[in-house]
Amino acid sequence: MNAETLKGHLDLLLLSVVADTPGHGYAIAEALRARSQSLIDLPEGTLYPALHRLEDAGLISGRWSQVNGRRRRVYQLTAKGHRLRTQKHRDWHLFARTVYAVVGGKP
Amino acid sequence: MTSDRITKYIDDLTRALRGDGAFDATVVDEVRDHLSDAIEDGIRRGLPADAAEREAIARCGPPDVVAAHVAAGVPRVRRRALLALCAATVLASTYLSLSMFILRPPRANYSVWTIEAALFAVQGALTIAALVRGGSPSTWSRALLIAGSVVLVVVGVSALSAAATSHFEGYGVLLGAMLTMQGVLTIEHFVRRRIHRAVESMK
Repeated sequence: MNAETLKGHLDLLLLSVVADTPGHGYAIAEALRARSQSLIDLPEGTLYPALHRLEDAGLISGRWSQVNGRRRRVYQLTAKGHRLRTQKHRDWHLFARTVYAVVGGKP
Repeated sequence: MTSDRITKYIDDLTRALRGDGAFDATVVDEVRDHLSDAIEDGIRRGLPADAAEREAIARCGPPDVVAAHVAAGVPRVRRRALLALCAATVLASTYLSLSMFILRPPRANYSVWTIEAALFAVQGALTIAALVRGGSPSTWSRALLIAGSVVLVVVGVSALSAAATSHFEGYGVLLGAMLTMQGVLTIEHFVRRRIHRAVESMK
């Protein structure tokens, strides 16, 4: 699944991953890969501008800290990010249910 | 230890970001850390160091693609215009300071001008540094830049309104206009961009 297919959904994916596993960029990329069973195939470097966009919007917060003796930028969800993630999650389920209702199958 | 291949990737990314007018030191630092983590991970999975490096770079994506994603979120034309305006304001206030101290106009208020010129220089340098470094400044840096910009707007508007009675009438109008524009553009750059991104994320 490439960047074009994921357009419009990347924010929800990143917010969900950061909500469950706050961490540095590589950990977030690994979690995204693992949870999608390697189906999400994004150039991992492009996650950083996406994370910064979410940070600028106040949805996640990033700060430099020492992790395993190395300086890394660690991200975690803000209260605003948590609210938006819940809303986007609900919207996504409604969208998925609607599409399944039309094309058939189960969400 | 950073290999030649990683160094080249980071250099290429830095060049691509600068070429796109979107250099962001934080992104470069994070991508460097990302590559180190990915290589360590590959070696832990049993890959030879060379293969682990190749895999890490392949997974990170071409530097120009990463740079394009960064550039997509940066208002490049306005950023360059603000950079040019800051540099011009610093030069203009330096020129005016030199003129005043050489020509010694009788009606000039030297102590006030010294404070103002110092403010213009510091604010210009801080804004240029924030723009060149790229990315989002910290909350404190942003607050400092915005506070300085508000002062610039106040001084600029005062200079414009007082220009008719000032000794340097022409310079007063020009510098006042430049200060006002610099202040407004700086606030716009560091505040409106944040609001714009928040709105984008709500979509």
